[in-house]
Amino acid sequence: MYRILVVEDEKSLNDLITMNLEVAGYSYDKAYNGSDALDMIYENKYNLLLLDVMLPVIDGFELAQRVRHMDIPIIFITALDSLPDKIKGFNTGAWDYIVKPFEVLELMARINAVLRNKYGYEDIKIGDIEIHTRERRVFANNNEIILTKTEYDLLETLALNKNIALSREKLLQLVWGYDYEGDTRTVDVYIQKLRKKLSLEDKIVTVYKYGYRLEDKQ
Amino acid sequence: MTFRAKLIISMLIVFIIAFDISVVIFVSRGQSMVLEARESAAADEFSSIYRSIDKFIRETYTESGKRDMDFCKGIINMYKTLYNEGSTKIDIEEGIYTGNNIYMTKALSMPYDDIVISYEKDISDYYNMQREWKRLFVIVNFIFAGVLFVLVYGITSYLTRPLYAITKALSEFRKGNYGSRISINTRDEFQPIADEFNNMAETIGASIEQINKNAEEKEMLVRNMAHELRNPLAGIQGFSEYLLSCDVNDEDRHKALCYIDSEAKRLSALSNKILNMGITENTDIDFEEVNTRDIGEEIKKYKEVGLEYKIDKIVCDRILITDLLINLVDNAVNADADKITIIFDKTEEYYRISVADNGCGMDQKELLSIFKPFYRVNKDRSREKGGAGLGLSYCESIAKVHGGYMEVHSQKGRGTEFMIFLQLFNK
Repeated sequence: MYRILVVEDEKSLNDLITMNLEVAGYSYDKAYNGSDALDMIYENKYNLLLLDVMLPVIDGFELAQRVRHMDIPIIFITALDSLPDKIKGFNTGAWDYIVKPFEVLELMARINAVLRNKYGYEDIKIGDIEIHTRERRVFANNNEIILTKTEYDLLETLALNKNIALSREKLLQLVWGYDYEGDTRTVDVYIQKLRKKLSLEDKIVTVYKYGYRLEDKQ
Repeated sequence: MTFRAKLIISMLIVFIIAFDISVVIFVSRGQSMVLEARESAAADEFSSIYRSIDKFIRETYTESGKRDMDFCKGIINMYKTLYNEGSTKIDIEEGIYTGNNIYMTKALSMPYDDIVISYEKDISDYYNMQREWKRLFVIVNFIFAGVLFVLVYGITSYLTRPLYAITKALSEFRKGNYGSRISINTRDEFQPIADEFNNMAETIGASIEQINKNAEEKEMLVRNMAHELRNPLAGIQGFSEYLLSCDVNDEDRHKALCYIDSEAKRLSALSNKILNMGITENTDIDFEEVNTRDIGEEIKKYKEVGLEYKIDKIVCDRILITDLLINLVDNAVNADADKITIIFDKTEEYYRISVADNGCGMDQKELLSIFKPFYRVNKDRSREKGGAGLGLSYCESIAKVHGGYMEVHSQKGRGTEFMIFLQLFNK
């Protein structure tokens, strides 16, 4: 399991990020200022750092600079949206840069992308179902289930955001692409197909008037 | 063509013309004097020769009583031979003279008056001398022009040096070196130009520095504002998204709702403060005569403070000044003060209200920044209390619209004293 350090002096935002990390099944630590974060980074092994920039004691850019040699991927989460700030952020070796206010789903997607880039594809396991993301193959009780491209994309999107409800619009956007002009009924149709093929009737939950959620209670 | 080249050429032309005219006048006057002297000497010589010939012939005629042409011509030929070697020639006139020499004629006296004696004086040496003068004149002219050129070149280079200094300073200034100054000390027409430029550069340099400083401060303000606005916004957006999309338990739902509530309140307080600042900066304020005790009582309703009145009345905007004092009292409370004293007083030019506390105080470095918007001395604690770091800049803008200013004295661990100076009205 990936371990993530969240460095954000604003307690509310720190909680927000970690509560979402919790839902997505990551383990995490919290730090509220730069110097505590530095100590924690040296003491523990983290797979990813989420850094605010305007931090007490040591600011985010400097912190990133100081731990650069440890080769831990960094995502900045900051209110500073000017180009010079972004360039400065990337120059410190950051992998990504997210401007506040952000969508939680986007943050999770970016965390996922960075982890995948850094540590490679990881198979996803939900109940009896195993998703081999590199080969794009799905197994249920070790029997391969053949899915179409769209079905697979939909399943992977739901699995990567497990326990998070995704609205139909969001699913359309993530799976079919921004320029897809179909209506949200399409999503329902594909969800039905997935449920049938993988016997996920009780795992893919319909969220009333919103969308769907893939549940994975541990 | 450069100014210097123009200067050199015009000076050379003027000097050479003046020189040549004076030399030509001088030389021609000298030559004509020489010629006159030669002519009068020749006239004297001719007259003495003529007299001796005439006398000799006349005496012989008186003795013999008859005209003897051959004898007469013989005498003349004798003189002719006598003068043949020198520059003088004597002869009987034989037609029109066309030479360049001095030439005179005179007829003999009776009865030989049909014979005219001619006298010619060779002055070719004079013409040679004239030619020599002309040659010399050309040579001297060239030498003089050369010497003059060297002199003029040197003089103009000295005179135009300030121009080059000015050009260099201007181009340096244009390139952005705002410290560039003209350092010349010529005490001529260039001096005021240099002095004016230096003064101008001083003013522009100061303005540019101010502009840069303002831009920097503005950028700082925008960064801080972005931070202050976006953090609560990110919280509200994130937690509502969280509630919408995750199947959360009651405890987490409550936590998220509490955050949404507190962040929304923070955002609303912040927007009020920002709007307040805009109002004080752009609105005419309501000056009225206020009893200082009324203000004191109002603050006492908010927080127990010590009050001292050295003046009874004060002319100000009552709401704004009360707001200002409450802000300062708030700060004192946040600085762990248990004793706060407000003194109403005046100096010769200002009303002076002082707010002193025995709180934790600030060090010099902190004091430098406290009036800047969004600056917080203690970031973590102040935010928990809902502060955005706008209080003191708000207070300062209130003092400013009252034609005054604020001062602060503080000692770490001992306490802080704010002094508000407001324009005094002698009503």
